[in-house]
Amino acid sequence: MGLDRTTKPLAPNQQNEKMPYLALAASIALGIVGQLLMKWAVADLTIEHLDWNTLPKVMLAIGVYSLGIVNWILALKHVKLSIAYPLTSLSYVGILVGSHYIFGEHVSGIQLFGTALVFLGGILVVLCPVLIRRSNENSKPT
Amino acid sequence: MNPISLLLLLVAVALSVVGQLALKHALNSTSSTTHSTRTGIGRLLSSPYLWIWFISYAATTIVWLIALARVPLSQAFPILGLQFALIPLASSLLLRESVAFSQWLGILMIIVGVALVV
Repeated sequence: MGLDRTTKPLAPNQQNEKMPYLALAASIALGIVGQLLMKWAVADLTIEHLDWNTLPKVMLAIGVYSLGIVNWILALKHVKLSIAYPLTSLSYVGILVGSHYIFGEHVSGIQLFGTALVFLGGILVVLCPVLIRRSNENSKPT
Repeated sequence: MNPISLLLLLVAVALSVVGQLALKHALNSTSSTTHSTRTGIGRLLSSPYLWIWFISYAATTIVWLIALARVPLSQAFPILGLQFALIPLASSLLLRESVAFSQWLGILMIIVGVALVV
């Protein structure tokens, strides 16, 4: 991330530095919504009972999912892959919560524990670069 | 799980790793020379690495769907969790990204967590 400072023509302000992480968050959120929409679209579908009404629902899910991919590219332009990719695992947390509260799927204690581990792991992955950037900003000559 | 199903899942993982690395490489190599007057989109679209990503993405999805038809999701997903280890590993080796010890620890927690969720 330090490289961006020297290559960008305009001095990035605080907001510009946060944008890639916002795009990453949007990408993960859209991925979760897309996945849940997909489940909603095909929920009452069986091989014998194919319904044309599901097509627009599936298209909506794919559309939301595609927006997620666009945001992923925008985020990856500035965020390191070794940080961005592990964070996509946070979608497991969202999908588990969504499948429980929206679709009433049973969530076991072990699954809950696994989700908590994923969440804490994600925090560990992202915390380090945030702290480093803070200390860089503090030590920068004014 | 039979060897062919396992092989399919490993191919899906490998394709996905190649795809993500190619995309990041495409973005790295096009943004480092971007001038303020020109947006990077044209440059990005002309990068072969972007198309490697695109093809890998499509191929991963197809291989994944074939594998899912043969293996229950609960067995297939932990293998897909390998991506969380392999992609940061490849990023640090090939893209020279620095990964701190605490981040490896976080990645390990994610892998264990993913294996427990499914």
